[in-house]
Amino acid sequence: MQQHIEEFSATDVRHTLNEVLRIAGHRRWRFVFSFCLVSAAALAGSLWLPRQYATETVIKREHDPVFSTMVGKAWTHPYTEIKNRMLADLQDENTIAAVLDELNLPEGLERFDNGDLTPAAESRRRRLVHAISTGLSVKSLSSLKDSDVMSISLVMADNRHMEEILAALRDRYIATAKQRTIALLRDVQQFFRGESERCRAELEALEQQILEYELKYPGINPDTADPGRTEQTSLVIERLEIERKLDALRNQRQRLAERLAALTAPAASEAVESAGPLMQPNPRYAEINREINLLLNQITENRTLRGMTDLHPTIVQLQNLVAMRREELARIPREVPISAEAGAAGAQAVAGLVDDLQRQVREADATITAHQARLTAIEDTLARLEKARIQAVEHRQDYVRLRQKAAQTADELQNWEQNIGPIERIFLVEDANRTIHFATVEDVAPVTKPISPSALLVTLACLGIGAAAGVLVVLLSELLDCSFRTIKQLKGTVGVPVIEGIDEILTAAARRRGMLRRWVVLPVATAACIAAMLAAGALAYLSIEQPASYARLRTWPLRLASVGPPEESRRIDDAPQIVPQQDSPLADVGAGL
Amino acid sequence: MGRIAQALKKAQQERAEKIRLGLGTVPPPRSPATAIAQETAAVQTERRENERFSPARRGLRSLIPSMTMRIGPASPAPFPVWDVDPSVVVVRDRGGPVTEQYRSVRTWFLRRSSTAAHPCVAVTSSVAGEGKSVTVANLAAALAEVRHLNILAVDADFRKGTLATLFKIPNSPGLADVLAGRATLEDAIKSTPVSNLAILPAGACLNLNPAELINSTASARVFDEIRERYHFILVDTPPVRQLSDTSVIGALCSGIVLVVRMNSTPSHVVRQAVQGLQANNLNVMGCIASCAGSAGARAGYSLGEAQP
Repeated sequence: MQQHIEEFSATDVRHTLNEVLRIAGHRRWRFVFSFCLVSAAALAGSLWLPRQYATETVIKREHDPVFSTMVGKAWTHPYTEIKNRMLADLQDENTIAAVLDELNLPEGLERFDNGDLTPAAESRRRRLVHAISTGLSVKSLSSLKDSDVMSISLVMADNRHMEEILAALRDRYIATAKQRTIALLRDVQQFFRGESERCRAELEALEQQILEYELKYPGINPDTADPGRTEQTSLVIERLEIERKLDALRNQRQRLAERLAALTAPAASEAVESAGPLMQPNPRYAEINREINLLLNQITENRTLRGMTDLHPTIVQLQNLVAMRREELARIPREVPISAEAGAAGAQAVAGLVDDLQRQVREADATITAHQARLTAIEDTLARLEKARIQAVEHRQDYVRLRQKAAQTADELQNWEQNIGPIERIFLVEDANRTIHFATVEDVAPVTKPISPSALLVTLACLGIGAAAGVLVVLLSELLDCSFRTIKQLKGTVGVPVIEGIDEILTAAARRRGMLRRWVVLPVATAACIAAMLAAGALAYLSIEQPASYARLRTWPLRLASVGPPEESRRIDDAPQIVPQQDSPLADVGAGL
Repeated sequence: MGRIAQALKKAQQERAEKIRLGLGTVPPPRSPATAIAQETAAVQTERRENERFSPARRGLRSLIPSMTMRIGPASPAPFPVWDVDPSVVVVRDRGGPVTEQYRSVRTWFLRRSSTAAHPCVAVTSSVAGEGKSVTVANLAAALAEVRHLNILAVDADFRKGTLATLFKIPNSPGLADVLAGRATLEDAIKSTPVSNLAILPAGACLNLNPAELINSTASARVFDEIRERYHFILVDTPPVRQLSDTSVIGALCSGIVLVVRMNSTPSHVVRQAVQGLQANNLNVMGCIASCAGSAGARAGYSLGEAQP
């Protein structure tokens, strides 16, 4: 930046400014004339700029509350569909062609004898249809969920028949929109039915799968009781019982076997005889022993089945009882002596007892065998049940997912089936015109002036072109003028000393000529140029802002020259306001007029 | 007004009376150094006199030529009422800025010619209409203001000589007549009411070729003769680019001055003219820029402005 400033010193800047001022002062008339003339030419040329005319109508579209609540809560699908398809409906070329047929436009179409359009007329019709289609636009002025205010605009290069075309298009669109509502409802009804069928089939398939799961994996349903669990519990209890019985039976058999061995062994007989009286088991001891076994079984049952711990009061109480019984058991003898009178009969009794003991041992062995078989069966059953339970747990997620999907499908099915019925009622409501309401808020406005180009923009652009041309002329004249401007320049170019610069000698005649030029010729020429520019600007302004006045102005020479009756001239006054563009589809129609 | 002013006035009246009676004799030439000293004194006196008058009064004096009589002991002799072309501003508007510019040129000439004996300067231009004749006329009048110099303005443009027209004197007999032998130099040289200033108009070539006239030996003889008679000779010549007369005349002169019209003459034309003159071994002393102050101050007037 510093270097930049140093490169352009204040002297250079001053010199440049002086040069600019010198050129501006020296060539100002060239600028003025160029500016005025080119601006005037540009303004005059703007008369041939293609014009764009626009007209619009405003409609209000309202969703009927009865209609919207028929199917469900705020059912706005048809309304949204119509809203989204509005521009497409309006720009539909078939619709526009139908409207043009209805209005018999473009005028003067050539037809064959059978009434068909000639190719040239068809081409004209297509061009007009295309122009209308591209010129249509929709703007939302106010948009709510169930009501809209829409502006339909039509922009064309030819303003004739625009109002009729737009009004006809609007009316046709309203009719089309209502028909579209009915068609849409029929489509919706069919859609609902199809969806119901689909949901029903899907639900059946899901239910079949669920049933298969339940059969294959019992207890997979978490909402129902697991039958295997009950069986498993009872089997566990039974197993415990059997185990307890087995323990008791084994103890009993052991005792029986011991007693039997004691009775049948000779040493034992002798020992018995030498030892003293015969002893018999203490009934109290056996009774206490049974009580202890019962208490232990209860403790085991409470621990396993009821999940009680050692700190549970019931367990503590039972353990205290067991301790008391064991203390009592320790105090009393296991056997008591048999009385002397019974000694004689003892031998016999011993024999009988041996037999009895042997019988009891056999019975105990049989019972033990049966219990062991049962225990084995229970173990197998429990293993099978546990395997089935594990499999059920593994497939429970899939099962739950199936259940959820089935529930959703059921809800969906219910929803579709609920909506089918009301649509039937909607068709009845349609007949009562309780669907979507259309109202014309603002009718089609007559076209009085073009919207494009803008008068301000045209004026500014033309003045800008004129200014640019003026600057260009000044710059070119300055660049092409290779004469000496300053004495410094002369000194540097010629190579000989410059003795003196002599000012221009203004004689009286020259002064008079200068005065004449300065105060008469140039002002008059400037005034003429400005007048030409203003006239061209006025014409351009009138052609854009007041086309009727412009048309009258254009026909003014004709009216001056006309010698016809006043009616004729008045008709010329009311002549076409706008000159159609050359490329307009209605141009030849205008020529016919 | 003192006695000196009365003496000067009396001498002026006597000089005018001699001119009117045709008894004017050419004073013997003096050296330019003496003339410069006298001219410097005159300029200083004139500057003092100008300082005495207010601008308004000077402007009023310039509008009324009859009132331009210089008052004061050292003021130069005033010009009598004389109908010359308005473009000869040194005569018509003695206090004007343009006149001062011509006086500056005069000073430049006198300083440059201080060592040369009887300088003869040809005034030319690249193309026609650049102000040669007006420059010669005004410069001759400015030089003539130096009282002890005899100035001769020669119109050597036989085709479009306008020097006589500017001073409103008959164009014939003139230089062409002298060179053709139809008149003598005394007959051709015209005295003017401006003291010390004489004009040698172009004269009439009749059926003679101007180039032949210029290239004749008589021309050298005539120029030698007028150099002996006058202290300073200014020669108005045709344009350089159009005719070759300037080269011939320039060889007879001690130097050439080129008049360049600002904002008009193309620069390459001026360069070519200077190069052409220098190629002929002519002494291009310098150039005078005419219409130099018109562009900024009177730009509107400059568009298509007529030649002065």
